[in-house]
Amino acid sequence: MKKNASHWSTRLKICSKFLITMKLIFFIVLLDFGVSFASVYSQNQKISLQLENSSLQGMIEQIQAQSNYNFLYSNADIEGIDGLNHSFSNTSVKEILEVCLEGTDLDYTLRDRVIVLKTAEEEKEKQPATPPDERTITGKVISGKNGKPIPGVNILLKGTNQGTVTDMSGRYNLEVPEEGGTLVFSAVGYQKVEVKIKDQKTINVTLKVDEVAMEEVVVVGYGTQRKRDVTGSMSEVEVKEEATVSSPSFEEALQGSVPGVNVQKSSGKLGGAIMMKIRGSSSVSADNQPLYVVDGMPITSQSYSTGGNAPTNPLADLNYNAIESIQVLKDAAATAIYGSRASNGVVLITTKGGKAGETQYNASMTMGTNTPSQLRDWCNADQYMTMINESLNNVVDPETGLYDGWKTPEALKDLYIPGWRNDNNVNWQQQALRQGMVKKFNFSASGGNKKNTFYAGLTYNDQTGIIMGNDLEKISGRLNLDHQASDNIKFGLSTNFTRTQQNRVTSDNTWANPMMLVAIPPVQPVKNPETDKLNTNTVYYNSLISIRDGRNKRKSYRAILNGYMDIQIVKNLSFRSEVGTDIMNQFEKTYWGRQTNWGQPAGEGMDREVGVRNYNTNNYFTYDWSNDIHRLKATLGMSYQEKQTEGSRLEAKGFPSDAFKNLSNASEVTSFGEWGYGNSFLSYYARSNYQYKGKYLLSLSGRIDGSSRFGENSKYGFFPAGSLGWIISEENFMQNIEAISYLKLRTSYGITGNAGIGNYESYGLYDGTTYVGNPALIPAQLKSPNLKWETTSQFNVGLDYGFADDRISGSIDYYYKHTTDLLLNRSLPATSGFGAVTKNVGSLKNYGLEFAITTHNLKGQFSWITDFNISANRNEILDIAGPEISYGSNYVIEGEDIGVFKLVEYAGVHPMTGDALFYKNDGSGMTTDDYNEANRVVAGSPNPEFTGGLNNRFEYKNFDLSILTNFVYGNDVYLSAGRYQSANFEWWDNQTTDQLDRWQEPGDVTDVPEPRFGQANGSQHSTRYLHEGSYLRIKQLTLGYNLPESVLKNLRISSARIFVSASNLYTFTNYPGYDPEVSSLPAGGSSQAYNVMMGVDFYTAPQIRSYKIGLDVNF
Amino acid sequence: MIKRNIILVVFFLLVSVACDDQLDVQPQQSIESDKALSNPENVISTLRGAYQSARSRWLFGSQFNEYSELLASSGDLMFVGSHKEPQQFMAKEINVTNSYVENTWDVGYETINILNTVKSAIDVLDDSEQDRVLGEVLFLRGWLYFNMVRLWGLPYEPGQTNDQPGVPLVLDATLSSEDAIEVERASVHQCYEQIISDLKQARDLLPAQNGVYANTYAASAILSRVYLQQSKFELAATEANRVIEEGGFSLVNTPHNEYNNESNTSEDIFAFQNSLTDNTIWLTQRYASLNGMGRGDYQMSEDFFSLFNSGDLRGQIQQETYDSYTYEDIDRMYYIGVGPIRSGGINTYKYGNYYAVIPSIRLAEMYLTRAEANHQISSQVGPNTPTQDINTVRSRASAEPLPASVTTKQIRNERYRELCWEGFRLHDLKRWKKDIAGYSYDAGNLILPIPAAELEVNDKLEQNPYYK
Repeated sequence: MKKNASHWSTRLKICSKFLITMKLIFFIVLLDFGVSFASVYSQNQKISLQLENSSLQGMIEQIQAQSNYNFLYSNADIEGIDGLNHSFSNTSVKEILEVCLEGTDLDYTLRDRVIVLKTAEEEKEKQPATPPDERTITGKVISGKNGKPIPGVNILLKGTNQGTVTDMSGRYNLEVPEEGGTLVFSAVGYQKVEVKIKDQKTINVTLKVDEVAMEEVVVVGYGTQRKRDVTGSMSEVEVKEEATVSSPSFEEALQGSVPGVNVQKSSGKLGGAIMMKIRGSSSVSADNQPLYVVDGMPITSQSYSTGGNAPTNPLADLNYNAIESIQVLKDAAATAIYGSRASNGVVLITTKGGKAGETQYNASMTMGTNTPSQLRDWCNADQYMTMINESLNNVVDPETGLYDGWKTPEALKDLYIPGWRNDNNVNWQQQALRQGMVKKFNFSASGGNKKNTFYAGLTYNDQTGIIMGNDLEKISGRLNLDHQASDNIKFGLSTNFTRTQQNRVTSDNTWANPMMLVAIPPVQPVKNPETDKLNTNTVYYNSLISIRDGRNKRKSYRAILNGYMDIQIVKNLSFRSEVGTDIMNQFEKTYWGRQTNWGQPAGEGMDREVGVRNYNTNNYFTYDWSNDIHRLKATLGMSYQEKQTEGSRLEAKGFPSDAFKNLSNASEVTSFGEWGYGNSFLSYYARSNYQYKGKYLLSLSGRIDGSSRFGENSKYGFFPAGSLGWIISEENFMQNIEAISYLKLRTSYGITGNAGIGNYESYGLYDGTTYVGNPALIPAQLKSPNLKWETTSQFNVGLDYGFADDRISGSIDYYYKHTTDLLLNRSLPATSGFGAVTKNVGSLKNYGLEFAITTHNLKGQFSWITDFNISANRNEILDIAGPEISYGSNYVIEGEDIGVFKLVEYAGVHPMTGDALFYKNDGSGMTTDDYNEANRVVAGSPNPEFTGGLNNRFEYKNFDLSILTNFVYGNDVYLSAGRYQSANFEWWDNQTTDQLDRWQEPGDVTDVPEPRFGQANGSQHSTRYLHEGSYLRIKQLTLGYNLPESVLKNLRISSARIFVSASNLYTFTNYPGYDPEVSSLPAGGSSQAYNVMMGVDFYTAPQIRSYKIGLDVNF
Repeated sequence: MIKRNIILVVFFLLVSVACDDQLDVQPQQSIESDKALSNPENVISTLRGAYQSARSRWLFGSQFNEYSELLASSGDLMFVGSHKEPQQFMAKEINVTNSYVENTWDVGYETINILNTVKSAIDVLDDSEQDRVLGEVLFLRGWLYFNMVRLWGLPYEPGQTNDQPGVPLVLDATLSSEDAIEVERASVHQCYEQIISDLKQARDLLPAQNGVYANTYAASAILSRVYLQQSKFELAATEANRVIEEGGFSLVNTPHNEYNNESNTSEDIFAFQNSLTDNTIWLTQRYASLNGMGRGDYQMSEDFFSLFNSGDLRGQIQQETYDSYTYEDIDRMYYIGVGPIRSGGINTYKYGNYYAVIPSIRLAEMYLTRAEANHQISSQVGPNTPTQDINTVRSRASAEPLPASVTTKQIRNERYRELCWEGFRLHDLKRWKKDIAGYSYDAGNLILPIPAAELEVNDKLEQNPYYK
């Protein structure tokens, strides 16, 4: 008997497949699916089987692959049973077993879906000569975590091999001998429980979650790691099903939820670029965005949109619903294995796979509205006329009555703003903005059996934006397949296809951007009253014409495919090969009708096509060995990535009518082009993690990275990192401290690189062009043969903690990043004929603190969980080996943080003259009314001092409520458009109503100078337009209701949730513009321009506020 | 089992090794600088690149013209656009960060570097081509420096030392970043010396015919402009006379026909070329207000037309215009604008189509220069009297001839009537020492600031006093 008991426990360990099933089932429960399958298993399921010289093992595998049956057996028992030659068609499993087991000493029993194979001796041993009286115990096993039933719990009568497993509703029944005994309840991820039967008939058990045994595994670069063993700084983003249903994109879900990560949407335009900064800006000229890796493949994340428009966001092609987990790698210990592209952090995205078991379906739909997060107050017709007249009267020559010796104010108004004499009062803001809508449908199915699992999903997402002419439609499909070919070989494929179709508006800095409609005076009608067609005689271009007669489409077809093969070569040593491609084909079609500002006289169109092909392969060995004291996990591998971009463009004009928009209808080609470029990376890496006694951790990694982008003298770089960890709570002296449940101290140091520059910046180049139809050449770039990566060394120290049984948990990190050899676009004297050359000069640093805490404030029927995180990053430019770098008012200055605003300081209005005053800032403390006399000073910064988020989640019975807020504190925003729209009626532009508070007569104390038509009185670049950008935003508020089980049973579905949610519900801010989350990205800008030009608002669309209602069903 | 594993592992490793050695990814639409100047074809192509660069909006393509007309304007030209930069020129109050000024500086020196680069590779060319190419290089370089020194330096003062700062003279190519050195401003005197030296050489090296590229007469014509600016009248008259008498150019029959042509006319001594697929649009954008062409930023005041007699074809306004009108429908030199924005003003016909060539050096100018120069020193270089030369230009415009012995004022007015909006006005007013919009001709705000960005990279540069 004794022998058999130990036998059983060994069996449970070695039957890995069984464990996997248990894990998967456990997973389902964890995901709160609350599934209760109808427990109607066909005891007589019929299958077909071909056995040719097969082993019994082979037979078992085939049956498992084809049916729902699981086997329990000891390897020793079935070893050596082979040579099976049978052919079954449509035969019941029972029958097959009987045939195949004939002549062996094996017997089988079948309960529910579990087939137990035992030797006849065991049977005999077990069965006493006379069968004892038996009785039946029933009961239910629930989880201590959420009170939900646990399927697949193994229940064993201690000391025997009598046992069973719980069904999908956690129920079991087991026949036990009359004399009773002890039942052992065990399940993966839970602590084992033993219960004495005594005379009980019903035994209900609650299993406690076993945190240690769970061995929670996290995804790291080239492999996985046990969470406990992690010594680097990384944050896992919880991907909640409810969030994937209601949130449009995963990047937005990251906002405010990960310490050290600052995500900013540039505007409320759909499909616009997203800026993500992990631990600040580590570069001035090179890319500052993290590396995005999906299922091992570094994907294309840059915009390939036409240089004439603001960048787009290729990450939007990823389907949030299909994402399983997101891992943000922050310090060198975590990122250095990505070598020369790791300085800005790495975002690892893993997509969903299937889980063995009955096919699970999920369907969700969300509908809602999009509205601008904020509107502004603009002058109405009366206010406008009063002010423009005042402004004109202030400057006309009192003698001649003429403006600038030219025309009378009346004549000027007739010339510029015809329509002013009629009673028009147009709110042009309402012409630019609208209420949009959002629709999202998602359907997925996943499941499989032991050998094959799959996940298939389809998502349709349709949104109309808040700006006229802006919408986005996306269809995305995913199919992930995994196949366990044998115990040693597993392979699979994940595929993602996306079609994104976007109607775009032009970049902020063009008159065709609808946001610029606000400049048109309210006295000018939208439509010409005579023709009832759109008014073509407005003082500024009426861009509604572009929306009516033009098109500005972007379509992108994206396929991300990743295949892998895992080979367990020998025990402890495995090999994994991954091959991936990311192919993006993008088509842009624009057409400007004959009445638009660009399309006259006969229409102008452009077709542009870009293909980005990105190939990657990773091949690595993993060695995993452990005993009671030591554990070693080592990785050694290589990867190669190659990216090719090809594009072409054709512009033509002269269309028969605006009904013809295809270029084949054009009469003349006006411009064309073709381009191609590429880059490659070849890398070798190694890593080892060593753990001693479960509490001392050491990790070392290194990568040798070569890139085509680097100069011929420095093709390869080396990027090492090392880290240490100490799980203090495992120490003996900590065991008595009840309050502390987990404490880990970790520190790391390492070197990473940044290769985010153009593909050929080390070359001296001549560009081809033409003059009079003949080929021409122009020197374009000076040679830089020593060009290499930027080098960032990063030190990190952090503490992970858990108190009071992990009711309070979190982490705190301090880091210091020092970047040298900046890939700097170094300015040259323009007299040399070149503006700049890219050189490895200069340095900067970032350092900061990150703090995250999760508290389970209330548990039980009413539960309340709070997540809070806050981070502070400080950036300082140490050396740029040259003059200040500037884009507009944003500067890069030594000793300051990147992108600071350097501006003349506005000093208000002279109370006696109405002149705008500026501080001279020459040390005198004086003010001046001469703008040129004032010196510019560093007046603000677009970099926040603190960012973070606070998420509260409440659950009561079937209701859940979550409130996610995020905040940004201490940054400034330059409202550059204020120079036109809040410029005390200096020109015809309609003004914000705050301009009514202008200076009128001596003695007036105000901030708005006297309106003087045609004269810059305070409208120059100055701190007058610099504002605090801090905000606290109710980012997401969701109220959900889970349909009760009673209803679900009747509907035969496992769970259903109805929710209402609001995004960007309210923003607390002092910013006077539309929205403080803003970045007017320069059209076709360099990465340096994007890095430096932060926090500028120039006719930028407000963010979107949306209200949604949705339904999410699992069945 | 183990065997199969090993086969697979070896297979994948072999595949991954096979994609090794791929770090050499060559550019596709550019060529490497080492190769660029290695053969005659590429050197010639680079010379064409210099023409293209010189035609840029920031130089001869528009801004040289605009700066002159805007700074000179005192009522005749109105700026009704929205851009802040031209507004500053109109107000004679230019910011040191004015981006137009910076671009003109940058592109100006970019072009000079292309020219210097071609010059550095002159030996790569066949002997037969060397003279012509060098001539073109020096012609463009001299002309560029002439425009730049007039914009950034205080006026050339005849008979003075002219040691006021001009512009940095860069005469050698930047072939590596080590060549990108800081250069200080040369004096106005030194600049003119260099300009004259370049142009004289160009005149002597260039052939009489050279397609749409510079010929010897173009060099003479610019040389006459330079001398006229210096009030070296005899030399100016001599060079102008050479063009008129030897060049074989002739005035087109009406002023109207000189503009918006797809190729050079008999009157064009040199014109920058535009075509459908390759063009500079800004002269048209600014000055025109037509269907599909122009945004009507620059309009003429009615007062301006008092300068013309009624019969003068150069001063007539087409009142009746329609939205559909393009330059082909305009038959006068001025018209009421019909563009989508800022329509209804008076616009010039001179730049009605941005696919047309830009007449940059016209024969009419040579007549006016010869007349003025001869008149100033009472000489008669060439066969005509000043009056005859003036009347040659007038009669082509159907303006009644002036009586004998024209006055200085008449000559100057004629020059304005003929060459208005072609970038001459500021420089003419300066050499005539005329006040401009209430400012003295040598006022510090009538020249441009050295761009602030450039001062930051080059410690040797000194800002113009007005902008300090």
